[in-house]
Amino acid sequence: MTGAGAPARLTVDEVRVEFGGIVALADLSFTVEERQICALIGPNGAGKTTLFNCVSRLYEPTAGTIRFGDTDLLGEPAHRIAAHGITRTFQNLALFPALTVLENVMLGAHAKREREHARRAQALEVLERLDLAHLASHHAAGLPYGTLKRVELARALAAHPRMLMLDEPAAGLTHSEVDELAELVRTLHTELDMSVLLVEHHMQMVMAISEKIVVLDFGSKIAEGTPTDISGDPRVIEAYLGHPDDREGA
Amino acid sequence: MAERARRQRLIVGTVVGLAILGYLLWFPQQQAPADVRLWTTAIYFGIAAMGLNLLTGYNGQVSIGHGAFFGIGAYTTAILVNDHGWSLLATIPVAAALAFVVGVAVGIPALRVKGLYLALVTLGLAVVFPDLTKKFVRGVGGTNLVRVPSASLRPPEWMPGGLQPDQWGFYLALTISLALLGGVWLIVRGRFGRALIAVRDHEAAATTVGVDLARTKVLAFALSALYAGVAGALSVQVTGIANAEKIGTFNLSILFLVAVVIGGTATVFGPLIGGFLVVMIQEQTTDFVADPPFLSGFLSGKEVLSPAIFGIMLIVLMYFLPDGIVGGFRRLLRRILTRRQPAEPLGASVAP
Repeated sequence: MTGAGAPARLTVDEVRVEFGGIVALADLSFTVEERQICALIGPNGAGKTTLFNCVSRLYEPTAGTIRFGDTDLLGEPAHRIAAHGITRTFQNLALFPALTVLENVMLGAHAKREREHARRAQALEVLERLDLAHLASHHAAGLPYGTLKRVELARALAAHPRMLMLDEPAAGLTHSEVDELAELVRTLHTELDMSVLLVEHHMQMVMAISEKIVVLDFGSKIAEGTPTDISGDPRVIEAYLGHPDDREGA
Repeated sequence: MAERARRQRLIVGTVVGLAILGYLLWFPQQQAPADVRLWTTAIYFGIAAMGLNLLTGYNGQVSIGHGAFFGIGAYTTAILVNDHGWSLLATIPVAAALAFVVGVAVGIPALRVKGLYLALVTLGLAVVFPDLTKKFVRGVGGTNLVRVPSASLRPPEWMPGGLQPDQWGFYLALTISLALLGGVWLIVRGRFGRALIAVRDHEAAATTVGVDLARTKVLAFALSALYAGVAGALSVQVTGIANAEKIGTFNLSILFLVAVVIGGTATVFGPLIGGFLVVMIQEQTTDFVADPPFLSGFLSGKEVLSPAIFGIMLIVLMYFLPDGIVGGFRRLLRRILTRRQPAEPLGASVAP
């Protein structure tokens, strides 16, 4: 377990992931401080989700270490990660359609050793907080996409994580929904005293809520800093928009 | 509104359940021993199907080898009764435990394979089991058939009412099936049941919320084996023997799966209904074509025709009720209910 005294800092150190001959992450290092909102951005295929999957222990890095507080995450089995205070959402919804919204959220607190009614009460509380309480007994299958994304967020919050990982939470949402989501993530982050690691393409949202941004390209970190630093960084602009010379030619 | 509907459903369910139970309690008093045995067979088929449903319906692991766990239960009971003088009743927990342990032993290597490959591995189990019994079981005349003395099928002395062995077997199977049904009900509604479904529907997501995939799958395997083992133990009470033939064990495995699908996968009551139907349909088709005059001398009679009719009935049933009896019943109920009280418009219930 993460010791109560140790700050819940995520330390990614020299993490390398190779699939066959392809390098998905090339010795990536960065940290997410306790109670920080950190965004991981970069073009498609830059390795953002790969990093998530390493922290979740769904992928095995070829080399490197990942620590959370004083726990070596790579020494833990995947199903123990939630108990260490790290929960996540998935890029393409990963709910359990046959279960009700409430049951989905109760599964979020699966790792907690507590009585069933306590788990239920806790799940209902989270649903209440995300304005989903009226859907508690609905089956997850058949609810609108935006609602399902909130249910998935509720599931990730049910265990009261110390770090929440959101994989493209804004994808597929309307403009007003994205604004709402950004506000929600920011308030939840203070209310629940947790850090947030965010993968997102929606730049407006990233710039609005992040305290720190890590930019990946082809599995390597090309920049790191505050939103202001990043938006002016020439390497970032190049990775996103192509080299100025290329553009002139086009 | 949902609360009222739920209460209504609970009342209707309780009334229907009590009526069925009342009928079942009365049944063996009135019927011929052969019919009582047939219904007892239906009950233990239902038990095996209930267990397989935990594995296949709720956990998504297809097994066509559960005839082997059934056989383990049957042999455990028959050997303990015949060779060691146990009372049949006392052997049932042992049969259950042994099937559970073997279920763990088979479930662990089964973790490495999924879907069709798992089905193949379990099929192997069904095929190997009869050979193993032939090697290790010393039954009647050195065969693998073990017969228990007919005295052992009588009810224990503390049972009142002067029950016949058939009646005793029926009540015993009924009692155990209700207890095991309660077991499924508790599992499905609890933490472990959610884990089963989560693993079936999305392994990665299940893992990230803290579900131990291996533990869940192996436990599902072992529990389903336990149910099959109990069913096998009860079969000895009905037939007086334990036996395993290549076709028999394989056939049983398939029938359990058929019972799950007919009744309704991932439903609490479905497998019991499915088990009942499988036994009854088989019995009826066997009777029906007992002596087909128009085929005499052409095909070897019922051995060929009975499975064919059984198969055709399955196809028809699945065509009209793709989600099983319970699934079809639910759809019917929903149609009636929504006609009576129109659901609130979706938009209204979804807006934040």
